[in-house]
Amino acid sequence: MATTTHETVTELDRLRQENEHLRTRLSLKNAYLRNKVNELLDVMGTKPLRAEELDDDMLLEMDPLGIIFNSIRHVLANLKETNAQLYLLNEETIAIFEVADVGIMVIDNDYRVQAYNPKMKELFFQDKEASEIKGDNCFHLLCLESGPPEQCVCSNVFCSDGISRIRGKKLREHVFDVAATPLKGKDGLTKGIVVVYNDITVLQQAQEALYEINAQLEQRVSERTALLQATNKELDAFAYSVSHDLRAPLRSLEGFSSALMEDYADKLDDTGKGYLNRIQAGSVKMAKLIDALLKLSRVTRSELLRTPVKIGEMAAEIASELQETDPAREVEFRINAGLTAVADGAMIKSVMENLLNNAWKFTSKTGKALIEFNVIYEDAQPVFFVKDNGVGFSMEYVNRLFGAFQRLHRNDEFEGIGIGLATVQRIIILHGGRVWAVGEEGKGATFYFTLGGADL
Amino acid sequence: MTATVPRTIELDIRGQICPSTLLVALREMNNNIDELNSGCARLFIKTDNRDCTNTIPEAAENMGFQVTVSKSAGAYTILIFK
Repeated sequence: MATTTHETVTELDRLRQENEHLRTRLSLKNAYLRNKVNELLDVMGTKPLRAEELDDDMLLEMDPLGIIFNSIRHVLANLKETNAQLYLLNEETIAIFEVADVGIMVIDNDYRVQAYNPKMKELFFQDKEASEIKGDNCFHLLCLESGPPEQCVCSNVFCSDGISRIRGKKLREHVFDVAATPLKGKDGLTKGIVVVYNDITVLQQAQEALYEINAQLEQRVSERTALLQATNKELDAFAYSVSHDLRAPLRSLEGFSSALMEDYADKLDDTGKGYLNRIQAGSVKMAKLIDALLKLSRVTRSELLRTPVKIGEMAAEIASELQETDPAREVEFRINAGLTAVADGAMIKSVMENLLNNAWKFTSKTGKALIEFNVIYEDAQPVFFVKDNGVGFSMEYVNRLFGAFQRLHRNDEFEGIGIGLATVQRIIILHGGRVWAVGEEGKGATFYFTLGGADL
Repeated sequence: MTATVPRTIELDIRGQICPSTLLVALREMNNNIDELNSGCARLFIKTDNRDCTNTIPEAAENMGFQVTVSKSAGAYTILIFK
């Protein structure tokens, strides 16, 4: 019995010792774990675990090591992805660097060359080895100076902390557009500069040649314009004087044929009277032609006087006068009476009279005649138009419309002497505007014009 | 094409201090990493511990997330999203 008791006590002691040993081991392992967790927490920038906050039992239960391990796994995955993106970005940068047709150079904050592309070597470093270039100062290599020159794009970047450009910088008999931009670290501080050299020598030479050609061309245009203006003036003066001088013999022709008819009618047979009538009709037509010629030459001899003109009201008045000439005719006028323009009042009235008279005349054989005057806008510029649904014209002959004495219709169809549209064109050109027409046989015609200045 | 509004996971760790604030936030991020990474969810943390407004954003940024921190009524809110 005594032996059994002794054995039990011995066994208990052994178990106690083993228990103590196990507790010590567990405590050491927990301390190890806590230490490792604290080291990792320190890496993550936070404070160590406090025993009072997290005892050994809680430590195992919360598993901070597992949490940090998983987090680091995600950090590594993110780093891997970021590295892949950076690799691609680096490849792109290298490709651009290699293929760029401009010289690119990277320098550090002490103006030392860190990298350069093949074009840069071609432009500036042909006779140098890489070992001679990298690490040397750019002002020494490029500007051949002992320090940064006065007009230095890199110095500008260091001062302003932003992009700097110098246009037309001369280096080694070449002309460059130079641009530089700071390379900034994550802390926002400048770590270096990227400088780009674009050789514009050929471009500048071409530009200079172009300026010279342009100047020559302008000189020639100016000379020819002066010559043309002088010739035009001479022509107008000639037309004016011819028209004026033609009036006197015409008056004799008209006067004596009338006298012949009045005083010698009884001595003339019907054929003779017929001839006389034709002489008189011819001289009336010729008088009209001379008047029109005088009017046309007066247009170019006049000074342009721009004032605000109520062009819509002007058109309505002309339409009303036309209607009075033949009240029986049914013509619908659609006139935007509110339109205004800045133009020479007398001249623009002549334009409107000619265009509306034409529309009135060429709708005389149209059943439901319609004449419209309004405005449209092209590139925010007003374009006035007179539109009718009369006989129209074939676009084949559009170029003949504005020529003096040009007529697209026979005189027995529609009366006229073919000077109206020539006058219109001269007036519009004097205003610095443009006139053009669109038409279709049997469908009508539209005449558009602009006035070159501030309209409406 | 319709844009889906991400689910907001709220985590209130007011009353806790470092380092448990960081550990709890990291555990929440780890548990929802797929949803957070795909942009389907965002983590909205409320804390009154100023230290963790540095440690949590730095850890989250290292894991590839964007973080905004704002303060109102004596508490901080940290929003973690892709």
